[in-house]
Amino acid sequence: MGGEPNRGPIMTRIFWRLVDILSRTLDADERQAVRGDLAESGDSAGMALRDVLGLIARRQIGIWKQWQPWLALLGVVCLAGVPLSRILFRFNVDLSQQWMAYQQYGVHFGTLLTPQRDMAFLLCLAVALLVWLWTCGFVLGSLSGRAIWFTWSAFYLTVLDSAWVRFALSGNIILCNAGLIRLFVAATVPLNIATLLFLLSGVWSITRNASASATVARCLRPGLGHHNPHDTYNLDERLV
Amino acid sequence: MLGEFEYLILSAAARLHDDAYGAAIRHEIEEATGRHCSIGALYTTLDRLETKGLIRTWMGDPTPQRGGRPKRMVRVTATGIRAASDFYLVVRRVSRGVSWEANRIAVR
Repeated sequence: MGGEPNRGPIMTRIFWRLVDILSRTLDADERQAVRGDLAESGDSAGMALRDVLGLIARRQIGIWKQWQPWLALLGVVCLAGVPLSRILFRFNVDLSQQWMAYQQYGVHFGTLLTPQRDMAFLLCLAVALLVWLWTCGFVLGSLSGRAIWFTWSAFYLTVLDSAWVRFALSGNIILCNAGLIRLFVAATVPLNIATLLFLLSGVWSITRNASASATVARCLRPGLGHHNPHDTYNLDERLV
Repeated sequence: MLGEFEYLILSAAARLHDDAYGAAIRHEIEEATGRHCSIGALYTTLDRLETKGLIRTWMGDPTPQRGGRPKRMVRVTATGIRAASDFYLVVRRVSRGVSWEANRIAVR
């Protein structure tokens, strides 16, 4: 591939590495064609990076011109994400209470249920949450296409944080002396069992969806396979 | 009606014929216009032209010159040829009698 003498070899290597990473967001066939074109044209690393970024931006804009990602955002992220966030919050609180009571006093936290029934309830809630999150992730993956990185991030933040935000705004939780960085970390990577459940189901559903979509795409898009171009050309000639 | 860039791509692909693929079309357009042709503009326009049925594209064989990566080959369909021809006629018709057309003939 081409080099960029003005910026020095380190910048060139970094830029080419970025081109390599960013081009992974493109479809496999398009990625190969684009990287081949860049290799052949001998463009500088800076130009190549600009070109790849331009293509990715155009592809993302193209995705949002369709209705499916918007439906994913409204239907899954807003309508399903907010109630899920409340249930997940409740699950987290119940689990923490039980854990703390057992750790500190060696007893079951006083609820109206027996310890066995409480455990069964929490287990059922965990399974129900896992199934719901998996379903949401699968629908999100099906509707979003290559906008999945955005819709999934929005879903992640909505499910894990919207309940906290609502409680904070209503004054039920007081964030005293909380630093901005600490708040940001707590909002983006909350370390609790709910996050683990979410990540587990989310990654599982999206990878399931990706493999299913790839199979469907292979069947529905013969234009990107290796076929004889003269077949289609002759067909068009007959139509003239 | 075609857009200007769509017409440039169709013309370049038609001229290159069997050798029409991403990088070659890009090179042709840059030579003709003297301006940089971005890969993003090229590939999104190729998709649009294919959706309109004006071109067909397919993945060619990998070549060592491209680091073993395949080319996205392009062929102009009969509909594409007709659309480009119509566009050219419109441009010629609308340019009749305008100063730059007269100057061009005078320079020639």
